[in-house]
Amino acid sequence: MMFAHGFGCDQNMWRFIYPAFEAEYKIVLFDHVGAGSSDPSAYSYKKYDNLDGYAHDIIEIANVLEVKDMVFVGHSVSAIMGLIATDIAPELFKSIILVSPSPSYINDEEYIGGFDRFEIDELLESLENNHLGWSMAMAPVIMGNSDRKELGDELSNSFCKTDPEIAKHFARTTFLTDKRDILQQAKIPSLILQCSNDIIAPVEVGRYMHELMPHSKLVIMNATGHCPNLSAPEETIAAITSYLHGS
Amino acid sequence: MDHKLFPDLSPLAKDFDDFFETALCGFVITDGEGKIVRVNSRTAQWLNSNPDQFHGKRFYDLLAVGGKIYFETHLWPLLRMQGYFDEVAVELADTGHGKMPVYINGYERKGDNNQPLFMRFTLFKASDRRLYEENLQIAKQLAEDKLNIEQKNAKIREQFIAVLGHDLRNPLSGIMSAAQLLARTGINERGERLVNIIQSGSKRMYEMINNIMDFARGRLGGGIPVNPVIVDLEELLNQISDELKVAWPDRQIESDFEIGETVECDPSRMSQLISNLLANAITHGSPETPIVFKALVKNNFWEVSVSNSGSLIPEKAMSHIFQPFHREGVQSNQNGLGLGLYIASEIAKSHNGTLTVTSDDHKTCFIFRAPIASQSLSN
Repeated sequence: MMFAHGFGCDQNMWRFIYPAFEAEYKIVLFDHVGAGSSDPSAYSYKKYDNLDGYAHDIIEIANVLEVKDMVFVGHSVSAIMGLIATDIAPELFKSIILVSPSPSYINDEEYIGGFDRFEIDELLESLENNHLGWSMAMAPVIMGNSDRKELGDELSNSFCKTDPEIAKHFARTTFLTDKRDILQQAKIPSLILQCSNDIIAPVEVGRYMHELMPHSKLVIMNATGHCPNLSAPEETIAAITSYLHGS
Repeated sequence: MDHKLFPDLSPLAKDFDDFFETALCGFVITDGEGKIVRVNSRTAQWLNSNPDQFHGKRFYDLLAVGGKIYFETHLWPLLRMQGYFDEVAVELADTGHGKMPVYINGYERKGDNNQPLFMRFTLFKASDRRLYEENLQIAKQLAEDKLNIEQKNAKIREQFIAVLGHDLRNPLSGIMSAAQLLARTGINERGERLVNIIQSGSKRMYEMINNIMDFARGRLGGGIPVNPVIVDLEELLNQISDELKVAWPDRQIESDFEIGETVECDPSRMSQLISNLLANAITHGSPETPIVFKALVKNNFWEVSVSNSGSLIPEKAMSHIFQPFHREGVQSNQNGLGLGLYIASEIAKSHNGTLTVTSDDHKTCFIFRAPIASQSLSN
């Protein structure tokens, strides 16, 4: 059972969830390249310019660990990476669980993605101008300064630390992605977990995905927000367990 | 908690309530799920509204769209994972005052069952700080751009030097062999003198070009390449001092060697290093006293030193004596390009050794020292 974190954090965001499955499954946790404790030098602005780069990483991890019949759990943008991975290498997967997924965040005629294009531009612009987040825009230079070690001391918000340049690029890749076209060709059974009040992936997105995706099941949770794995772990675990045992 | 509803509130409690409402920072309290329970008047004022308007909304509703997404993807997860976050820059929603930049701190209070009871947020106005940070950003960007340009220019310059040095050698070789042939053609005494001038001038020039090329190679990241072989050190040192004695017949070089075994080094680079030190001593030392040329192989180390009597090298000069283009004093015409000692110390490094200098009122001494079992000499 492989857990993939979304934009903003690292594998720590599964801390309340994966222990519930340890008895039954071999658990694989990882940080995407550019996030958490990954090696920042491995980041490639070319490879990670679209979600396929991340999908290939998922496949690579599965291959190296010789994972078979994998249950893939992806949060937010990682759900879509997982979906792409099932398209490329369906033989690896048994089922995929999409937590607060969205194939496209931008409203488009009938489609409700949750944001207008100008709002996403505003987000990207705010990140670009370092108007969001920690005063970390200066941090990489400071951290390279071995003479003044105290300046490079671990910043307090360690779970969500990312190189600001990588964060900007990941945000761009995430929020400008439109993968609605792959939904219809979904090859692997899937569970869509949708929160009832999520500004990032509204309920309509969950319904839209469920309608288009063959072999999909949709569960609208009572949990609110974008991270049910953190705000409502019990409900999340229960929904996943009942799906895995039911199908 | 509105004190108008509690007229019996003690003066102290009223004062405290006023402090909460009109503090110079914003306070926001939400329930465990993030729904707003209370915001203070200051926050509401920043948002062009009144505190009641926010009841039941979510914290992210206070923020501009970028901040909303950031809050949901970064800050909310952090609160749940580590219970707090500090000093995060976001922007308040634009409600007629523009998107006001703020710094927020947040923390989550947990109950006995580890469930969140409530969350508290403090908001600090950060307009000035934003300006300052932006200026800092711009300055950093400019400095980085300038540095990049400079580094590129420096590289081009050094490549140019390398190419120039290389291309100058060919015509110079022509001049040198022509002068040699001319010397053998039975010219008169005056002609011989002129040929001598050509020969010594072109030899000096040849050395300078070699130095320039070594320097450029070192700067371009190639280091000074060495090809170490087993060498009879005594023979090598005698050969070097003999050559210099021929060039400066009126100067005395006193040799004092204690060499019991062979050493491994690059003989032509080592000659370059040592003849450099000797020539240096001849140029700067007092002409009346001999130069002392010592070599010692002992305790797994070998050491070659060259000392001359003369006055103290000033402290200022000592500090960058091994730096390129260093020239001592004003009589620089004798010094060439000021690359000699730099290259000598680079050669020492390539032999895993060091080149050091000591100087007092009477004597200046350069010492090369390297381990005998030089495991891996850099190439």
